[in-house]
Amino acid sequence: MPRPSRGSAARSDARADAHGGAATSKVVVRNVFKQYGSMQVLDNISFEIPEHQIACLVGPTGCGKTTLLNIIGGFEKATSGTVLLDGKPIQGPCPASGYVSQQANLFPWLTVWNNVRFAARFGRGLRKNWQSPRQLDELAAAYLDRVGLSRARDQYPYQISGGMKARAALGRVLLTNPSLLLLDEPFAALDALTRSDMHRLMLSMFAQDQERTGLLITHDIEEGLLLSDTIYVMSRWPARIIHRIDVPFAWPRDYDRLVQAPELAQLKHQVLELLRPIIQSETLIGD
Amino acid sequence: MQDKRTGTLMRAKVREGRRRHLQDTPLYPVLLALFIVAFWQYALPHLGFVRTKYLGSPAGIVHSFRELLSQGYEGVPLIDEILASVRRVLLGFAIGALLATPIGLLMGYKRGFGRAMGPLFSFLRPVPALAFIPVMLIWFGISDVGRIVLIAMTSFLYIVLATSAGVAAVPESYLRSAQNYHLSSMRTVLSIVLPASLPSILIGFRTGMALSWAVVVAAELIAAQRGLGYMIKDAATFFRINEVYVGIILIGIIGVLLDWLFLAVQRRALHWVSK
Repeated sequence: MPRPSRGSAARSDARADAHGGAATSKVVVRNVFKQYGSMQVLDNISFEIPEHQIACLVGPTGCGKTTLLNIIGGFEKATSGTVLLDGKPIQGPCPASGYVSQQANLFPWLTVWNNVRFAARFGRGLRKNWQSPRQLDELAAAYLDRVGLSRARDQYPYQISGGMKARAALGRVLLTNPSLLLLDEPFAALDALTRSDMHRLMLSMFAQDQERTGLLITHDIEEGLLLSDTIYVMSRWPARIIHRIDVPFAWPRDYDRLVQAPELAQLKHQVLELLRPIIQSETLIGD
Repeated sequence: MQDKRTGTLMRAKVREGRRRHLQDTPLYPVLLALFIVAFWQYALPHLGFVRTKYLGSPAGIVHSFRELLSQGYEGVPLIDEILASVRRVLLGFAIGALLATPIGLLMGYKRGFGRAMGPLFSFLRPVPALAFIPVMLIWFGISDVGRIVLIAMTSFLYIVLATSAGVAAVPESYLRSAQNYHLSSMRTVLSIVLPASLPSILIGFRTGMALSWAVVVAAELIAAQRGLGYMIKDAATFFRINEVYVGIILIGIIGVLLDWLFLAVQRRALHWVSK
């Protein structure tokens, strides 16, 4: 009697591993390879992004981070391996993924207001988020306020600063109510002060569980530690994940307390030490 | 202290602004024009390049222009000659632009279509419109249709080129958001591709308009009874050289005015370009 029950328990465990794992993870990347011609861009990459967590990829330039993000975003296809979003294979770009990149990618011919509303207004399948144009406007105004751009509403992108552009890009994506954020060095083009301002904004946003599922690519280790739950360190030759660091800070996170925390400095040093041999070996090869 | 320094900086900027201001006024071009007129009137006749009789002169041009204004050319009011040309240009250009913009957008957006159509247009573009005039005469007789078709064709070929090139240069990242949010093709073209390639399309419009204007005059040189081109050819036949110059100057001025029109549109609608 005890045996079969143990057996079924073991079997259900196995099932939880195979399927349940996919159900609780927003994104599953398993044994993913990517080749451009004879060049191996991604070499057996596996990791998961659980619901309400931010995964972060750090690594040298050209190690395939962006390719990996593009595969998860549906813009590129893996040569082999499994990529699941909500347990289903990714077929192509999906309106549920909100993509923010270093270039804010605002349309220069639209005002901030129209840029922010653009995706939510025209995106197929995004109309479920609003019932009437009036409601869309109300939502847009609320998000504009959240990213602190209410006063820049009628400005054109060329009239506003880099930080404001980043805010507008974020507002545009948030308004589409994405279930997965894809952040490709979103603040890399900003100066340090503006960037820390953006970190504050992101932390206040991430305080809500439902707005905190995503993948962050960055070169800024501190940014990775502030904003993510798990940091994956990638090498370039071969393009693999070589370390995983779990970030121990609980949500919601307080920016001011965190940036002064000794653990942050320690972890930052630890990650930098992990990256150093990779960068060094590369400079040798590069020379 | 701080205020004093900013004050100095402000004054320096104002000075800088004033200097630039002089360059922006029409002073230099007007001076140059005056010099050319004076040289033509007083020096050129004594240099002996051309027989004075055929050289014409600024004073003679002014005189002819007055006469043309009061009496018209061969009994036809000057304004009618002008309007005949302008009407042909605007009609031909409008037809060309209306066809070229959507076809150019499609050629840039759907690569296969672009590959299919591109070579045909590249083949036609370098053929001078003048070469088609006999064909137009045979097809449409001496009516206006042939001339308007010719103008439409010329502007079409250049606007198509500029439009499809503009579409091909639309940043990948713009199209990526269209993909990301599953925008329909129609929406993508209207809300992203068209505005993004508008600067290029407008350059096509300006080129097309300038060439249309060149073509209308050429077309009127052959078998027309009205228009500035006709006036130039007819006056030249009778060695009425100053009237030829009036025609040439009017063509130039109208060409510049039409281009200004597009520049004004560009400045308003494309204020965001290169900023």
